[in-house]
Amino acid sequence: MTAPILELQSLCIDVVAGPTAQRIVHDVVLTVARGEILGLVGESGSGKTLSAFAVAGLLSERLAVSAGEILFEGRARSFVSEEEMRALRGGRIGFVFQDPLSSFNPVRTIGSMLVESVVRHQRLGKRAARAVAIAGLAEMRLPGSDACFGAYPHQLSGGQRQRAMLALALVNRPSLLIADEPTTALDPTIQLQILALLRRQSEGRGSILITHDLGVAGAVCDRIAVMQKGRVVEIGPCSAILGDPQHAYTQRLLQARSHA
Amino acid sequence: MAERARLLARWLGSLAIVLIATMTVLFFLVRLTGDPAIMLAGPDASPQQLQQIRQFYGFDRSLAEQYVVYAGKLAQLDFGASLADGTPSFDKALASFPATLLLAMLAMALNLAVSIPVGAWLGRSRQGHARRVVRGVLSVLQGFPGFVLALLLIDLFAVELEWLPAIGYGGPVSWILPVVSVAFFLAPKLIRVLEANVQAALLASYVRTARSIGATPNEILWRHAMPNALLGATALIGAEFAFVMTGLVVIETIFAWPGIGWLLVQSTLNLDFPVLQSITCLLVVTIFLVNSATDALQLVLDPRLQQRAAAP
Ligand SMILES: Nc1ncnc2c1ncn2[C@@H]1O[C@H](COP(=O)(O)OP(=O)(O)OP(=O)(O)O)[C@@H](O)[C@H]1O
Ligand SMILES: [Mg+2]
Repeated sequence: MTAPILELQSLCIDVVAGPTAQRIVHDVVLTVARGEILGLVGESGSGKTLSAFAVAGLLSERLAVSAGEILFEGRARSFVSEEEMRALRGGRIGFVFQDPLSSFNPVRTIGSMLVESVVRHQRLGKRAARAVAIAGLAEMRLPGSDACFGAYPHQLSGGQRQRAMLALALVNRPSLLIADEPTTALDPTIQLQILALLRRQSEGRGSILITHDLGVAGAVCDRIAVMQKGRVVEIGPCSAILGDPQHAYTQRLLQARSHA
Repeated sequence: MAERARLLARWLGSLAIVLIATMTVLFFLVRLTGDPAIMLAGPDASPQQLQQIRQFYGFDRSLAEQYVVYAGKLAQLDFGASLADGTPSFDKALASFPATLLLAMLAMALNLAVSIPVGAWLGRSRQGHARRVVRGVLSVLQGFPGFVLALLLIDLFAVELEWLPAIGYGGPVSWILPVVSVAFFLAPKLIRVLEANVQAALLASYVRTARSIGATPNEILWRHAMPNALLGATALIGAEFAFVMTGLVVIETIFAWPGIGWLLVQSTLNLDFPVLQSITCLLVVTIFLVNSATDALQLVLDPRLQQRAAAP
């Protein structure tokens, strides 16, 4: 078996702003292999987003990785400079944010964001980058990619914004895609479309799908990690987690789902 | 196209209303405060002059008739002759306009050129000695009345060092002191607003998105945060421009800058009411234009204010 794309070794995240550091993510251990979608599931506040931010080097200044190691494509994060990290972000690691409306700059067009990313990471001229960006939008099944290219975020529907966010994350063909609750705010039909898109795009790269919905995770993921209060309490193949949950919390999550 | 014509018509309509309202207020002001002929002619006018003025404005007729005559004259931009030299007062007011426009443009350009980088730097820098010093200097500058600053600058650069002329409008070198005085009076306010706006913008979620596509801190500041910070400052920038176009009475007087503010002082001292009337009319139009331009700029810069375009 080839080495995983991403490996977290006892990842801990602390709030470092106050007088005493306070740990909010404890000893997270997980791997993501090429071609695999790992589901990160857990209740609100369980530390899913923060773990993902840590992987992409996007933690805010008040938070820091305090122990453990992040191995991305075999390289330990401790040895990656900030400049190298910038080359990874958007280039090798694509991130889809939880709230696409506030995550897009209201005064920048969708196209200008994609072009900025392509110019930076693929070292293309403006014109060539524009072609790549439009192709990237089309790949996400955005109807009228040319019109979307010039659109401002408020002019798109929720589903279109989510697709645009995916296009921005994937435009440089990263080896790791992290999608943070990409379907939460969408109606069921659009949800399925976006999940299908994720599945299609998972080929040849590692993906992490963050969701609080075990059903969504079961539908598209290969493996699932269940988080509670900053810890991974259970991790395994979908069938095992959904069919024979070991941890009481996972059992409760499943029960809550079957009641709903 | 029809939409545009409709907007233009509405815009011209509101300009007309503003003008008519101003002129009506002036009409009654002149007639409420004693003998309008004396008001218009000045206290030293001879009975002969007074008679001429009464005939010219028709003060011997009814108020309604007077108003019609007055409106008819204004419609031809005839505000009467200046009492100081007998030239048409509106032409006189108009002639002082370019000097004010020049000072306003240069001062606003310098104001923006200073405020944007300083505001950006303050907005992103952390607490520290340099930041505290700059903020202290800004507080002091903000507390200074504009003319004190001007007098200090004259004292230093014109009187002590003799580097620059003390009074303006004699070519670019003489413009330096007036322009710097005005710009330094305006800059502290704009810097503070930009600082706060940059700070807020840097905390917005879209900055994390910018980081997620590999933007450097400088790119984040200038390409992602600054457009939003400037957008939030357009109202202030517009207000500052309106202020320099109309409110530089003291600065223009100190530097003998032959603009509107200077003419305003001269005409007030001479009780030259026709000229004052012309200036008022001109200023009302100027403010109206500046406000319209500010609105238009905001509309251009903020895509959310534009009508929801046909979504793709
Ligand atoms: N900047 C911060 N400072 C202090 N605590 C924080 C900060 N950001 C997040 N937290 C805390 O860390 C915990 C984990 O947050 P996180 O955003 O990772 O949750 P999540 O699992 O993504 O939840 P959700 O499903 O609601 O998005 C939360 O309890 C939150 O209060
Ligand atoms: Mg989250």
